[in-house]
Amino acid sequence: METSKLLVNVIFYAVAAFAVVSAFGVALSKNIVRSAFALLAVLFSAAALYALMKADFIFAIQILVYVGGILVLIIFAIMLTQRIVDVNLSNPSVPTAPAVAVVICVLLILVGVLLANSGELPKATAPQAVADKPMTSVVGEMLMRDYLYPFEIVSVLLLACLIGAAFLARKEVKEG
Amino acid sequence: MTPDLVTGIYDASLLDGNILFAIGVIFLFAFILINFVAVFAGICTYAERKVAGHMQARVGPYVVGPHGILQWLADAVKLILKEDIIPEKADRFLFRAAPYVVFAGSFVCWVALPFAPDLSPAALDVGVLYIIAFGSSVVLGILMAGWASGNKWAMFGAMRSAAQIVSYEVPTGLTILAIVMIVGSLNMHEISRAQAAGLPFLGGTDWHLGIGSWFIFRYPPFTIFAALILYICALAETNRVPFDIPEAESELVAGYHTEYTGFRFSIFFLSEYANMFVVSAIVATLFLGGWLPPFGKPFGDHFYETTSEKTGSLAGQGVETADGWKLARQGSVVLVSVGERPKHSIPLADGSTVFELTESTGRRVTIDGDKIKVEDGKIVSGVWAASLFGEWAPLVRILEGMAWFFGKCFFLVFVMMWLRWTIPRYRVDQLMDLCWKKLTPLAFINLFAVGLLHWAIGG
Repeated sequence: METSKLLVNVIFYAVAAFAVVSAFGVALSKNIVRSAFALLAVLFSAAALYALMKADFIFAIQILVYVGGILVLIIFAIMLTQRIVDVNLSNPSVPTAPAVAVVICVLLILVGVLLANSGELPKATAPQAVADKPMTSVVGEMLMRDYLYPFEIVSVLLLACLIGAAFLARKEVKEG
Repeated sequence: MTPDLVTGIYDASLLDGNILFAIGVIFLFAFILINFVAVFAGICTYAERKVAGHMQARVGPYVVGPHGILQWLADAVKLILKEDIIPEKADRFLFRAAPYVVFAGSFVCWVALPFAPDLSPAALDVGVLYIIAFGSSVVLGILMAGWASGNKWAMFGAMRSAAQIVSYEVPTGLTILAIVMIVGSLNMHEISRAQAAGLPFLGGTDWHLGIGSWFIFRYPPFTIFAALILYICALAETNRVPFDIPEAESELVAGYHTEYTGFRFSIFFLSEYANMFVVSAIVATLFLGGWLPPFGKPFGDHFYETTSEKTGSLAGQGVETADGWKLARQGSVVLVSVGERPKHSIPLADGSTVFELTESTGRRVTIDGDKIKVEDGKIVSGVWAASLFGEWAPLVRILEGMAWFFGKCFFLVFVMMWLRWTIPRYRVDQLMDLCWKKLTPLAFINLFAVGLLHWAIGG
């Protein structure tokens, strides 16, 4: 067990370091398209961390939704803007002073939370894990049984968003 | 979880504390797989041109080796020797990174493919979802290549490709959902195994009915439509004709890889063929039985190994299992019910059995006079094969499974090539029209119908 823990630790630190470096890439890159592709690396490393935690369902969903869906849309939106053919398109950044202030505030909050919990972060309560059941079926049963109302409310919200988007994007049909 | 070969070796060596060996196993299998992909893609380029040639009443490549069979090696050498040109206007870093992203996106999908019973490099519980997810990440590599080239044709090609792949994921997801609903698992092995269970409207208890029990014929005609929709979407997601508008030579030079030369260009080609195999494998696993043979029982047939059993008397209450199966006599049959719903009925003849297959486990019911026995157990390979091959039986079973699996996949890849030289290309608007106005509603209807049928007769 010791060696497998060591292996997991090595992979964890490698992936986490990669995530942090690519997150810096997202924030610091002068080129907006490069930022978007650095975000790809961040999302992939987040997925890798889920996989390390044996959360296979969340891992696949992370890739499917964030990488295959949201990131593609972000890049699409960037590419539909003008002057995109110009490779040296730059990324207007917020002035340094307010940015540094915000970052320091967030850092303080995070350190505060960490200290308040004496180095021990609150653990998520795992669902009553069933040994031979794959995680997907556990998640599915919880969604359909314990959290049915929140699930339904969220789906109605998403439906409303979809209809709203379709309404905004549609072409006006002129009468006559 | 299904134990599989690679994970098995890997876990065992980790438990022994042999960390280097475990890492070595991973690298070894990755090495085998990546070389297989490369060789497969190479041979596909040859096959593609041969198929094209014969369809157009030509002979195709004929010079290098007998019938030109070594042409793909010659091409590979040529591509490696070509100069690697990076355009002046390109974003050098992303331009160079893009082929790797595209290839990685299609290569990682191979890891979850069920090559043979209990043999896949990683038998993931979320297998299908994993493949769909990583398959969709190929889009980003394509966008990266198109944009970084600094060429508007490449850019248009990439945008078209991304729009197309994102759109066609919707009907793909919906058709896959129908199958996942029937099986109740995302694991590719379980999906394959579930297709050995026989047709529900013909009794559903006989297993290994071969072709008839594949999911394509499970709830006709809806599952047949579902298979066709999935295959059409597969064509679109691999940017194959008739959906190859991202590469449309007549409009866009060569689409997103216009500016690529030499080996970088060949990596795009490699990943296109790798992707063709992956989508064919999805169709083969979901609808054509995966590694199951098309007729009768597999040669390396299974036998049953009991892990726990429970006995009862039919004169009394019958038997109730831990997970809620009730077996009791009703007239001249033994009725098996789960909760309130009847599931099977077994005639009161001696030794009748019924299997409920879940994963690699099965449940067997034996009736002997008034006594009834319910066993839970595993299906282990090999009665036939064991008598013929002795200890080599598991290997024979795997080889047999591989033969069927690859046979089905190669056939589907061949159909893709066949279509390429038969059908003209769609226009951009026609392509989107087909996806959103025809395939997506059809996929929804299919999903609903399959669900209804499964609820009514399959349960």
